[in-house]
Parts: sequence; C-alpha cells; structure tokens
Amino acid sequence: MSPKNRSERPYLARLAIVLSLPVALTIYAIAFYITVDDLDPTSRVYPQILITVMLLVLASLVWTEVRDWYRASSHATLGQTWQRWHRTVLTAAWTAVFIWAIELMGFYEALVIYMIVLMPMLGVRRPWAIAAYTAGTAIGLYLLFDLTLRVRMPDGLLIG
Amino acid sequence: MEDILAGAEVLFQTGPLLWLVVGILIGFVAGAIPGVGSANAAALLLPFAIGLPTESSLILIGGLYAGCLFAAAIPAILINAPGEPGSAATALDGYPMAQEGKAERAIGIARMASAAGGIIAGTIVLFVMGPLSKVALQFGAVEIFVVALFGLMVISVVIGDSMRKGLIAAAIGLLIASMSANPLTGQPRFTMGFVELYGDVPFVPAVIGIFGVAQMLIIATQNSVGQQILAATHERGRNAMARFVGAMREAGGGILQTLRYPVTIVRSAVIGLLIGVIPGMGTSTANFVSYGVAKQYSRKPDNYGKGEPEGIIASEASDNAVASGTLIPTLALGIPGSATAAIVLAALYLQGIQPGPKLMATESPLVYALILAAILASILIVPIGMALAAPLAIVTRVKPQYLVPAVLLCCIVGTYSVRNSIFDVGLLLVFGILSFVMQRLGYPIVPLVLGLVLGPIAEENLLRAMQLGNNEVSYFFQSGIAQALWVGLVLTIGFSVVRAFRKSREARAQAATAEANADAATSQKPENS
Repeated sequence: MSPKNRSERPYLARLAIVLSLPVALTIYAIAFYITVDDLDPTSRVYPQILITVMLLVLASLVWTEVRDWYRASSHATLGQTWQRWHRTVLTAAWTAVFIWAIELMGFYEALVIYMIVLMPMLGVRRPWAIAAYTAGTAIGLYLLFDLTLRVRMPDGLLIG
Repeated sequence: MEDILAGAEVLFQTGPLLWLVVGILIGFVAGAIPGVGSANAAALLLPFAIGLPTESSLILIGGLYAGCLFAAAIPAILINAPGEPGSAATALDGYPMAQEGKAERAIGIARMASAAGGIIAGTIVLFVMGPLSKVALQFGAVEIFVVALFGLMVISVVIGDSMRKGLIAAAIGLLIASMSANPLTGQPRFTMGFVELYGDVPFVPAVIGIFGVAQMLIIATQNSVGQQILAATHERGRNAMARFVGAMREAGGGILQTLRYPVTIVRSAVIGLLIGVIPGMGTSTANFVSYGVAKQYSRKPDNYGKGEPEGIIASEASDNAVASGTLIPTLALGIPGSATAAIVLAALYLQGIQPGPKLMATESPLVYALILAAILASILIVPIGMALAAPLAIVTRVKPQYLVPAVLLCCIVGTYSVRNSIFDVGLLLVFGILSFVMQRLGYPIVPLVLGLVLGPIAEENLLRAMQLGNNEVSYFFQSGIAQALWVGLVLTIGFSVVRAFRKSREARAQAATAEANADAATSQKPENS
C-alpha cells in the first residue's frame, strides 16, 4: 500500500512515537552541552565528547527510522496504541502521584489510596478483593519493613 | 589451592549457607514468573542484601541467580513462556514434551542439565580465575579505561537488533552517570540543583527502576503473566499426595535420562562458559548457540523441536554455565558479564569493594567463596527443585492485577530503605519510565545499565591516564596489553558492523522474495477464478 492511499493520522502518530525518544534525547543532550560549556575543560570534555558522538549516531538512526516508517505498510492509530498502553500510562502517572503523596500524607495512608485506585485501573472489580489485598499488603509491608527490617517509612506532613 | 580452601572456609558457615539457600528459593519464585527474571529479582533484593555481611550478600545474589536460571525453564516447559531469555531454547523441546504429558520429566531433565552445566563450569572457573587475575594485576589506568570501553562497545553492538540503538543506550547511561561532580575537579555537571546528584548517580534506584519498574509497566497491559496454564501434567492418582509422588517419580526419570548424554552436557557447559566470559553475550546467546551445536552433532536432528530431551539438555546446561563464566569478567576485570552480574558489581561497590584487577589480591577468599557458592547452588538445585517445581508452577498463574502493585511497592520501599530518600524513589520511577520507553522502541537496556556502572570507572581512568601521559594520545597505545585491547576493540566493532550489514542485506533479500511471491500469487488469481 503506497503512502498516498493511507489515512494520514495513524501514519503521523507512528512517526511521532518513533521519534519521541530521539527528540527527547537531543533536547537533553543539547541542554547538557550548553550547561557544562563554561566549566573547566577537565570537567566538560568527557560529557561533551559523549554528547557529540551520541548526536551523530542519533542523526543516523533517525534517518533510518524515518525511512522505515515511510516504507511500512500499516500503522496503528493513536486510539489503538492508547487502548494497548493506557494501563501502563495510568499506572506510571498514578505511581508518580503516590510518590508525591508519601511525603504529604505518610507512606501507609498514601498506600491505601494508591491501591484503591490502582487495582481497579488494572482490572480488579471486586471491592472485597481490593480491600483484602490492600489491607494484606499494608500489614505485610509494616511487619516486614517497620518491625523486622527496622526500615521506618516516612510519616507525612499532614498526617502522622 | 590455599585460596580455594580460604574461600571454602568463608562459604561453609551457617550464615552464608543459609543465605545461599534463601537466595535459591527466592530465585526459584522469581524465575518461575515470566517477565520478572534474575536481574529484576536481584535488583529488588539489592537494598536488603547490602545490609548483610559482604560474603552473605554476594552469596545471596549468587544463589538467586542460580535459582532463577533453573526456574526460568519451568514456565518455558509448561506454558511456552520462558522466565528468562536464557531458557528460550528450552521451550523449543520442553513445551512439546509437556504437551505430550511429560512435563515433570522435562522439568527433571532441565534440572539435572542445569546442575551439571553449573558444576562443570564452576569447577573450571575455580582453577582459571587465579591465573587470569594475575594477568589482570598488570592493568593500569589506560588498560582499565580501554577494558571499560571494550565492554561497553561489545555489549552495545552485540545485544539487541540494532547496533546504533545499543550505542545510543550506552551513551545515555554514560551521560546520566556523568550528571554528577567531576571526579578530579569536583565541579557538579547538569545536576539541576539537586544536591543528591553531587555524588555518583545512585545505583539502586537506577537498577531497580530499569528492570523492576519497567517490567511491571509492561506486565500491567497484560491479562495474564503467561498464557493460561494448560492441563499439561497428567493427574496421577486422585489425591494430592499420590499426584506429588507421581510427579517426583517422573522428574527422577528425567534426571536419570539426562545422564545418558554426557558429551552434550560437557560441550554445552563449555560453550556457556566461553560465552559467559565475553561481556554482554549472556544466556540468551549461549542457549541458542548450544542448542544449534547439539542439533548439528545429533544423530537425530529431525527430532529437535518435537520433544527431544537432548535439546533441553543443551539449552539448560549452557544456561547455567554462563552464570559461572560471567564471574570472570565481573570479578577479575570489573566488567559485568550480564545484567545480573551488573547487580553483583553494584553490590560490591555498595559494600565498599572495588572489583577489578586488584580484587584477587585483596579479597581472594571472597572471590573463591562466590565461585564455590555457584557450584554448591548448582548441586542444591536438584533436591530443592524436586520439592518445589510442581508447587512453583502455580506462581505462573498470578495475575498482573495483583503482581504489579505488590512488586511496585517492593521496588519503592526497597529503594527508600537505602538512603531514606524520597528523591531516590522519584529517580526510580524516572528510570522505570525511561527503560519502558526504550524497550518499547527497541532500544536494549543492558547497555544503559552498563553505561551507568562503567561510566564513572571509564571517566576516572581516562582522566588519570591523561594526567599520567601529559595529555598525549600516544600514552594510550604504549603498553602491550593496551595495544591488544585496542586491536580487540577494533576487530569486535568491525565484525559487528560486517554482521549487521549482512543481516540487513539478507532481510532486504527476503523482503524482496516475499514481495515477488505475493505479486506472483496475485497475478495467478484471475486464471484460477
């Protein structure tokens, strides 16, 4: 199937996904390079050489990736990609919120809310299963870490 | 011989032996769950392991590695989903055997082959490690820098499907590792104001994030960790005890059947050992190479892929042998031979021990204790595996909805416990997301880990060598060892480039043939209708 006969949106969505990491790396590398430019040569030479080599290899890779994307015969839509990976994205985002909430509320308080939201997100529908698993996890972690291994999990600023 | 006895004295005490058994048991559980694997399990265990005495922590991780390598064969045999890449070839004959109702026999064969491969390879390493490490003592700043570069380059170009992606992954690891204070001047670089980054980038959150968190993010999308378990094992007897005894009898038959293939066992163990010595080749390469060689020399090559026991033996013997082989570059040269070996390396650093050429001189009993532990773990696999293999199969039925939250919480708590720092936990998630994105886009993650581990070593020795040589490039080519290493580096990269071009040309030829066949089929259609 030639590129002209395809719908544009999945076509471009796939390109955006493929180039996301190279673009992010390029921005990171350039920011790093500029930041260290006013340091002592002993401090900056090593990372600057690495960045230069990486950008050259990255440019070559991007060329190949764009060429392969152009020749590929089918592409998943953004909707299909989201359907496949939405649990992962939501799990990562919610875990980030949990980490932020640990300092705010305390570990165990934040854990309860984390589990109550995460498990239905992953597909657990039965409330009793969620409650039992959450309670069991909290108790298990407390027994193992706080009591046995003496690792005190943080109390929060608001609670604890 | 005295060093070996000193190592035995370190190992054969209550504490280390107990932790070895605990490590094997944890490894059995981790290895039986597809997607978790030894690297992830070792990364999760690392924060707790470093709280133990040095020898116990390393032996714990070593036992876990051995347990994982064997247990990974269980899901490969039962549900055609290897728990580790090193058991992928085991599934080729193990799964067909299970479908014929001989799953316990296949597990018994895998267990004995794994044990035999580990014992043979470990024994060889025991006698080779000393001489090799004497050579390693002649390594100075230049040689260590070139070895680090060699290790990184080899891994970057060998692992994964794309050499450029491997190099980029390694560069990312090296760059992230340099986001800290310069080792000579102390000037912070791109730390973004975070005081926690002034020292080296913390290993524990990086390693746990790259393996554990990323794997859980991948598994979160699945409805089951592997395929649904088929009723692959026959129900022998009505009660559980009768079934258990029947399973043990079948497994014992598998063990005895393995001993009928001594040549295959020894050959596969040597292949695994040699491949394990090369940083980055790893178990996934060893088991397929060994399988291929066994098929080539077999009297019944057509039986391979249909439940041939020799196929399982070749794969599993080499798989466990690789673990012993990776100890040589990891301990003697400070270059991890595999992802799990990278975690062993991290554990050594966290215990304040510098692996590398001088390790044999300063910590010889510890090194030999670790090698002896690898051999003992291979022996213990047989009885422990007999008892646990059947119940462990249940672990493969754990649904992601329950597995993911539990493992993520363990990652978070484990990371926090190292420095009591929420920043480390945040870093854990960042590395997990980075690793997930890299894996989904086809970038290998082992070079990333090695870049983080070897980056500080490479930079420090590069700067030291430049100071010693008054910034003259010729200083890097003066010693015989350095010259040999540079030649090896160039040859390795050269062969990899040639291989990559050949692979790309073959792929293009196959694509052209497939297109031509498709066109021919399309043009014939109007005649037939």
